[in-house]
Amino acid sequence: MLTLEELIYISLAVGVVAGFLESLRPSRRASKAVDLLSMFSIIVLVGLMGVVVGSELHSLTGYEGLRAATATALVSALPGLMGVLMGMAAVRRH
Amino acid sequence: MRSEVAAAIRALAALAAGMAIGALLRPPLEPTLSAAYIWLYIVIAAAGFYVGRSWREVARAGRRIILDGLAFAGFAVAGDVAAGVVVSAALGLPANLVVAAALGSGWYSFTGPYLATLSPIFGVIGLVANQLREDYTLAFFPALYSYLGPPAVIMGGATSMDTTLGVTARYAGARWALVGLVQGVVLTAIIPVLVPTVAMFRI
Repeated sequence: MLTLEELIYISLAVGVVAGFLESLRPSRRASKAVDLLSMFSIIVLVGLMGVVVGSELHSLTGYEGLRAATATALVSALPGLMGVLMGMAAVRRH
Repeated sequence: MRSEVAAAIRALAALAAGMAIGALLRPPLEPTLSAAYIWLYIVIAAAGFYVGRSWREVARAGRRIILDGLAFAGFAVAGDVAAGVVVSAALGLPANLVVAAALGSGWYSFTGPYLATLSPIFGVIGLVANQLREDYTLAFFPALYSYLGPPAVIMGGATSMDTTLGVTARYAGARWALVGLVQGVVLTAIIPVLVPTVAMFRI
């Protein structure tokens, strides 16, 4: 039985190989099919994760809830901003 | 750029609808997550497809652009790790999971479902925080670029190869859009390896 991580790596590798092969013999139909599949799968996946978020909301009360909300707010903004600041510092040094 | 905004709105609408259903019905997590993982593999394979298909654009971009894209991807990862460490220390949360959530670099459809296998709460944080990162980039990139210059591209993280590519091209020009494309391709290829590795590395 494969682990979740192994299945993730296999999915990624299969996708990369398929994309590479498609670039050698471009097919508008295949490309459009992947675009549609990607859009549909993201919507379904985000919807299902929304169900998880919604059913977990009731457990996020009091201090734990505040901590999770603060972590979400900080993780949404700080990583990108810190990366930008590091990039700016490196650009200035050059 | 209209299609990127439409994609972000569709994702937000799906999240809101799912949240409403989850809050009202409170279905058991196990079958919901099992169904989500099937779609997760498809999302990852599709992302891999776009990475594999972009090799010509990346190869054609030129050495300087590829080096800038690699450097930006490096700064994106460094920023994610630094921010994750700061947030986990400030809030007393497990560093491995906060850093893993930050390393999602905007790829919410991977980070949220993956972290939910380890902790439902971190699944929520990984999903919502990374979705917000994509939304912030779409909304604030023009202002960030005008104040901070080209490194503002780093804000988009993995999304700079698809959903935020349009906004980068429009406000920063073709050169920095190509740098963003390289950054996004590199991050999309390494995030499925980096996030699980960091998440399982207990600190």
